[in-house]
Amino acid sequence: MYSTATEFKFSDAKDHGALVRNSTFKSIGLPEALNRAERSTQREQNLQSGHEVYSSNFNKVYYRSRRRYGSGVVSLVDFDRGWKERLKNRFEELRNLEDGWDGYKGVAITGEIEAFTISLLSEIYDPRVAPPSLVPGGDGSLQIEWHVNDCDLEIDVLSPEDVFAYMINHGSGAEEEINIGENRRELSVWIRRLVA
Amino acid sequence: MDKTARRLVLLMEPKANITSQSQETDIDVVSNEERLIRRINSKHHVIFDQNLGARRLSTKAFHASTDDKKMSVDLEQCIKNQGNDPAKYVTQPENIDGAVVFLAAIVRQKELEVECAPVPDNPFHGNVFKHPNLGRLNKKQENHLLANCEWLVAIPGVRLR
Repeated sequence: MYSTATEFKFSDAKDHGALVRNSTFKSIGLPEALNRAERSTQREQNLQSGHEVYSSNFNKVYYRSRRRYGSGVVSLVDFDRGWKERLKNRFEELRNLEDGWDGYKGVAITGEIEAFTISLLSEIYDPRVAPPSLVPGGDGSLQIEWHVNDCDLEIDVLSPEDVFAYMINHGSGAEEEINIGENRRELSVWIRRLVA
Repeated sequence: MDKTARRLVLLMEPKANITSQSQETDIDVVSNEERLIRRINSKHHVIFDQNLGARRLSTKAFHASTDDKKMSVDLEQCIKNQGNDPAKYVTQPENIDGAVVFLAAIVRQKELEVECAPVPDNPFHGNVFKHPNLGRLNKKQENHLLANCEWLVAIPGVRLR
């Protein structure tokens, strides 16, 4: 159901923006039950939301985004079953948000936001932590959230180069907000704080 | 002309005329006592907080609605002035099942501003934005709005915070 490799990892590059730009495809696993008609509908929806279907092969579909960051190959292979299911199902919902979903002028999340988020999660993934909540913004951005172990951790992905993380420890009252582009290692430290 | 009358005049004018008004005029029109409504989609704005053991609103519910980095709201008094029920009006879209309110004064406590910004399908539309320089609402500002809002249309089983 999922591709067999994560073909770009931000930890492999100093300039993750360049890496995304240079990558070629983005693949998103689809349920086996998805029939041809559903695939067609999915294709239309993705075209409208900025994805372009490049090709499909069995249960794997490749997309190419028309936006600035082009496209990439991402997969959920690095995650355990619980994470995979949660992320796969949630991204399908987020990808297919209708215009005005927030009661105003909200749009679906963009292709580059989705690709970046999956890659970021694969980099900071810790199987001891439950999968996060994914909350969309009306502007196509996405927030990754954990509220566990007396901590709130929120990673706001506004664009691949504009990502902020906020953490508050309710026990100590300590509160921090950082720009992820410069503090990626710090984020992994924060994730470990979520482990009970 | 009193403030309410000026606001109604603005609402009846094309948007181009409103945007040509000075920032000072916008600030003047929306009084501190004005209640601002933010619509909530429970499927996407609600998260499960394991610390609380309950479902609650995400701070992302107070994020910019569009690329212009402004957060859309509805102006409660304007809706009432036109004889509408605010709770019914803001939940007309089928995917909206909740709404929260907060005072304009709360917005202004954190270097944010509010403006009337009628749009074709919503004459009671307004914006909350960073003042004086446009930019995203930061996490402290989003937290501030979440901490100071209350339900207009409550979602069963969901806490505000």
